[in-house]
Amino acid sequence: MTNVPNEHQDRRGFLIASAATAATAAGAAVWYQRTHPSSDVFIAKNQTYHGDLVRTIRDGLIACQFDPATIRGKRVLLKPNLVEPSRASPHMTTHPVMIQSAIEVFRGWGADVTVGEGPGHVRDSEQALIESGVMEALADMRMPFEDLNYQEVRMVENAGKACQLSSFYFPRAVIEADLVVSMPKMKTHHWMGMTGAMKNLYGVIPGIKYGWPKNVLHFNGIPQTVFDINASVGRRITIVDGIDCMEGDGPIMGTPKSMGLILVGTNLTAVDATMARLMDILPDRIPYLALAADRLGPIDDQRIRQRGERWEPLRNPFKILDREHLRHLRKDGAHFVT
Amino acid sequence: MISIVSSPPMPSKANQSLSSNQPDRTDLVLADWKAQQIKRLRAKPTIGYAAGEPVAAEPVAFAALAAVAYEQMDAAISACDCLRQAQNPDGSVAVNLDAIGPYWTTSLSCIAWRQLEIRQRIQAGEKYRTAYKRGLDFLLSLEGERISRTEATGHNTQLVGWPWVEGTHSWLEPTAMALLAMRHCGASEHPRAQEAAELLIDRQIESGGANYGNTIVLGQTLVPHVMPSAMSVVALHHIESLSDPLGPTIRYLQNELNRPMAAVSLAWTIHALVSVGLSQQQRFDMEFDWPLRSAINRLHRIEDNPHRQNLLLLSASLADSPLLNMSKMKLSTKASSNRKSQETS
Repeated sequence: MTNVPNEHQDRRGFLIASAATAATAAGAAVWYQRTHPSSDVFIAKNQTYHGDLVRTIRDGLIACQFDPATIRGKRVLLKPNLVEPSRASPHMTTHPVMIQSAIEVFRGWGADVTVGEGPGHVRDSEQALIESGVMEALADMRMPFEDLNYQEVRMVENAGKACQLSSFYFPRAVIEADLVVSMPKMKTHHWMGMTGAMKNLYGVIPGIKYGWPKNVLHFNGIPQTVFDINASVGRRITIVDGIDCMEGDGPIMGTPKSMGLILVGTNLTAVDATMARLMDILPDRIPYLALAADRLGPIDDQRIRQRGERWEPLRNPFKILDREHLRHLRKDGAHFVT
Repeated sequence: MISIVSSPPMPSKANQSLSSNQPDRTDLVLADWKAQQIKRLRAKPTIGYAAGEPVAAEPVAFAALAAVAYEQMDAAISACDCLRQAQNPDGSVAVNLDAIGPYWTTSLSCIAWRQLEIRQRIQAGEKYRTAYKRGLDFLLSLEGERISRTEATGHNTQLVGWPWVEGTHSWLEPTAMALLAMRHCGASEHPRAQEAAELLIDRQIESGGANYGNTIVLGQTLVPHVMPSAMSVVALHHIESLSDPLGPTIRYLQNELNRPMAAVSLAWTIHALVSVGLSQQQRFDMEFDWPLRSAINRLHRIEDNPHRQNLLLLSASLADSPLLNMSKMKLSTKASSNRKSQETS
């Protein structure tokens, strides 16, 4: 659980000038969009936490044209969602077995893997690890935890510029990572409609600088800051825990919904758009997806290549709170709850 | 684990056994652990949040308090001087000891300076007195943003406490820290301290405990969490005119103590329950051996973290913790009547 860099980890990434880092991230995002007008999204059904998730994740990444050779010897940061863990609500946070499985996949490909999160609501990170069961899971894998809320930070230019913040503070582990793997839980969100791979990256923002909750981001606009953070982080992919999900008053107080799905993709926007369709939500009505469309990735179904299962037969409407700001998320006005 | 009995004597010495009821080898283990930790603290009081991380204000402030608790005055002076050197011209102390901010750690710095001043001779303590007075001036200049009150939120969004970051809403934990600072530094009668107390009471969940800051959102009551609950109790202890507004929160913490609890949350919880014992006529027969040993062992397994160890060490000083070294506070008539009207409604 220590965050101490070892002798071989010379903080090379951390020595990169912050402006150069942001420029690289922004350039990479634009380059990706130009060279990848379409994106692959892999869906696996009938998944359980007792199943062979390592194989599913590995197959999914390969199906999405992820090249394992690109991460051999490189740093991979797995970023689960541990926003406000509670033993009573395991459907709120990324399941520990998902994290263990991803560790195994990337270790198997020769990557230098770490797991990190900056819980958004719980200031005691150790308590968040206990409540979520992730502490034991990491101990089993002899895996350290990068506490993104309290780690050394550096300023990185806001490469998205949708909000008024000129820069973000990112923790060392995020700046040093060659690949950040967003590992969200498939959930509804009582303000945004849904939360997925892109929103999960709120957790790379350090609480020590932004608070608990990260209210600076809220005051600067949730959709805008979600977009900007995604534009400013370097190379990203996602593995979504869509097995036991949350509907209704998510992302904290919602009710369990079993889907048995794993989603994988190398473009977070495309995966989130597909996740929305699975939940019977119109992707272009999700404010941060509307902002990201064709800038960080495609949300148009015609430009998303389905790998594994198709989403249409798996669509299963998630209940959404019956509130004015959420009613436009569906065409038919069904499946709302008070 | 905790039973309520009628007025047993409270443990009163920092180095006293944590469990006088169980004089077995467990006591020896904790005593050994404390001796090791004091030695470590003495050797390096200026630390970061984790081993290898940069020195930061919160860990240094708690190191100072732990050093004061165990009469390691050289370490306490070293830590307090580190904070003093980082104090900005406006009186603030930033989380990373720089000029950039945010500055919520000013509160903890003030508490550390004040407690060191108490232990120092008058002349030597003057520089710390100057530091915390400047710190208080900064705190009084910083307010959380009021936001429109709608049906979406259950808490009173018009009460002004302290934000984590300038320009954002008031939240429970920075408000609790600021209230503690004001009480420690003799400003408990200030209207801002009075409003802070109101805010903390307003943010308690009816069934007990506190979330990180909200109570009800979009019609749903949120779940309580240990650390903000415990911080509320510590900040509000020894306040007159409060009948039993924190009773459910105290019971919540008592129950949580029976479950695995992380080091920082446990440290605040021990402070909270000890403070309740100090405040109430019905005192607790508290026994913290098991949770302390459990947290120490867990910490030992996962990482060498001096900051978390310092917090546990500080909490192990029980009633002698300098964090609890405050005089009584009285709520103003206005605050009391506001409270009563809320209870009625």
